[in-house]
Amino acid sequence: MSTSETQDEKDQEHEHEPGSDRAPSSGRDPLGPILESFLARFRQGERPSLTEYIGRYPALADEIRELFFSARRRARP
Amino acid sequence: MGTIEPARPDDDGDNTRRLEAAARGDRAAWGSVLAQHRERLQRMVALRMDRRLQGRVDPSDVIQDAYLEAARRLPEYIQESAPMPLFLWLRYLTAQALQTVHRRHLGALARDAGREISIDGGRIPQATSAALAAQLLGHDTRASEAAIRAELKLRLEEALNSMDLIDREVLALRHFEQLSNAECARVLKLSESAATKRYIRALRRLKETFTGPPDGAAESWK
Repeated sequence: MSTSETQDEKDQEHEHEPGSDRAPSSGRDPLGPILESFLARFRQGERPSLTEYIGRYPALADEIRELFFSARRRARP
Repeated sequence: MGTIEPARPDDDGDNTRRLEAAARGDRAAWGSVLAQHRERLQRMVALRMDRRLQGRVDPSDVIQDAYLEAARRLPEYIQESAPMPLFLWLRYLTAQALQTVHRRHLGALARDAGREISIDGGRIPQATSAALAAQLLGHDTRASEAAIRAELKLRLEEALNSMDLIDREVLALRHFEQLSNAECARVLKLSESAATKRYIRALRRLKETFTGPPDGAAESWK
């Protein structure tokens, strides 16, 4: 089994900065850092709403609605 | 004595103090440290124990074996200059204990019982697609109609089987064992961004599986 990173995984390093109020204009997949920001707040005891994130990133509304709920449901509070 | 890395980023130092007290022989401190991690370790054992042993081996016994080994090795752990985070160390010892149980009970069959995945220098039984699918459908009564449930389980197993091995492991670690992204990345020796990317990819694949036909399966995703 290889756990070495592929180039596209390395590209992910340069994507959207979590916490920004603007959706990124470039980058391959902005959803990951936004999800991690959402889950980090959840783990710290906050209860961020999906509505808040959908409002901040309307272009990603469908995936935020569909993926974040499931991830939050499984995450450790 | 080395500085013990906090078990979690939000550790306020209490865990470190309790661990140092435990190393000096404070059994109550040791018990309180271990109690924090038991639930997640039980999840790991439940997910990775060979199905033929379920009902024959109590997961708590596996964890108890790991805790005894942890107590024996605690002074050595405390002395390390850059120790593994405590939870990941306990998880590693629990994986070793589970591997021992597999070999003890399954003998030569242990190797093909569950393929193993190399993690942090050791080997741990993989979370199989069947086990993950069972966890996903476990207590969800919304997919309770037998025909829907059977078809969905089959589709889930196919989707999980077709996933990249590491993507599936990321899903197991984050979605079921409840590891943080940092913990997951460390266990699999990935960058955090790569681990996130794999988690998102696995989530998308799961979502596609749940939201396709048959009717009624989509509710199980929510």
